[in-house]
Amino acid sequence: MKTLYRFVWWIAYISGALLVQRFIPGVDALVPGFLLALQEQNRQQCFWLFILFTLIQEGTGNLLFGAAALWYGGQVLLFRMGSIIFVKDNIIFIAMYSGCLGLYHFLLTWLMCAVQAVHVDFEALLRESVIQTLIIPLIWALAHIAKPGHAPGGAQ
Amino acid sequence: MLSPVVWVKDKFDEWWEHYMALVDISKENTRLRSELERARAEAMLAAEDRMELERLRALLGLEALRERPAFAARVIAKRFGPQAVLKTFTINKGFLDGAVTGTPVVIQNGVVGRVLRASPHAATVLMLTDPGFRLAVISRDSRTPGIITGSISGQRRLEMAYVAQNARIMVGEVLITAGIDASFPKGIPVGVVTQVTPGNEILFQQVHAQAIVDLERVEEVLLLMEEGSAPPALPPAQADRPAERPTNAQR
Repeated sequence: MKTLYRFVWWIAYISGALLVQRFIPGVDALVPGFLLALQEQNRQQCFWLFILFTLIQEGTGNLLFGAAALWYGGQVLLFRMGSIIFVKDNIIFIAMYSGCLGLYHFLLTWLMCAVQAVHVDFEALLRESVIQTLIIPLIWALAHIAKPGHAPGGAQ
Repeated sequence: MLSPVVWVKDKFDEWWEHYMALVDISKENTRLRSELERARAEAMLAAEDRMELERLRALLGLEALRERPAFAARVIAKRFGPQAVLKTFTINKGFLDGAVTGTPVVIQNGVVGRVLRASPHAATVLMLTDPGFRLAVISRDSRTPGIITGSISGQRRLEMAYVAQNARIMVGEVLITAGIDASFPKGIPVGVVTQVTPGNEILFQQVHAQAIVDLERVEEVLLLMEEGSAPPALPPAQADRPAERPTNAQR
């Protein structure tokens, strides 16, 4: 029953996130969910979400395959490094993590465009990176409250 | 003696009839309201269908269709997700329908773009305004040739490259496809020249233009096939039965 509830929750989350992505182009709204999964330290869940989110973003994007895999892979690495130093549920950690992801989004997109000889609008990319930074804590907080097994205030 | 009683009885009958009539009126009112809502919804759908029909009729009147077989496609998605860097949109026709990579995409006003990549039943179209887009054009009046590319800045801004210093291209001239790259037929409008600046340190003039088509508002497009190729056949189920109103999912 609990597994089914979790499954339904993730379906609802992904649907909501894709709706957000539809209205804010260039932004990944699945990231906060992935962060939540990383915080739960459920490796199987993280693995399937990694595969699913990568396929969704690669399929809807128009760069050659690899950018989304690097995007989510980078998040795992960043999370592992950050959680060594900080408490992973702390809001300061989330804020710093979001800032780093915004920067990572900018650098990764710029790098992938450079290696694929694709022209990039730096102004738009910068704007999207800032929105990405701001949107992560917001969606994460909502998802954190709504997720089964989590209580408001960060306690599990 | 009986008249007050008769008066009361008449009043009661009158009140009762009016009350019953009110109940009927209320029911009828509810029914009429629901009918009105349904009629409004149908009128809205009919208006939408009529506008779509007008757009499709205009598409079919396109000059280029006399040279090339073509088929229509519907725009089903715009830019989506963090990896969507290019200016693209997705259409509901894939390589099984004939939308192969490089297929020119137009509407009645002019050039929209070309197919960047295709899956079996959907394709991604690279818009004319993307900086990676290249197309040989010629100006309609002064016959000045050049290569049109998209621009990073501005929604409809285009740049025309390789325009010779002595070319007499003027602001306001319409740029049309040159028809020399074997993909787009000659004569389809592309843009209007907005600025011409002599290049002081380079061999060419700097020419800016604006795309004729407002690419953000495109809903249906035409894909031009190669000369001599047959347009894709309708699936049997679709070919046998009369056209039906598309569902929301098809829209």
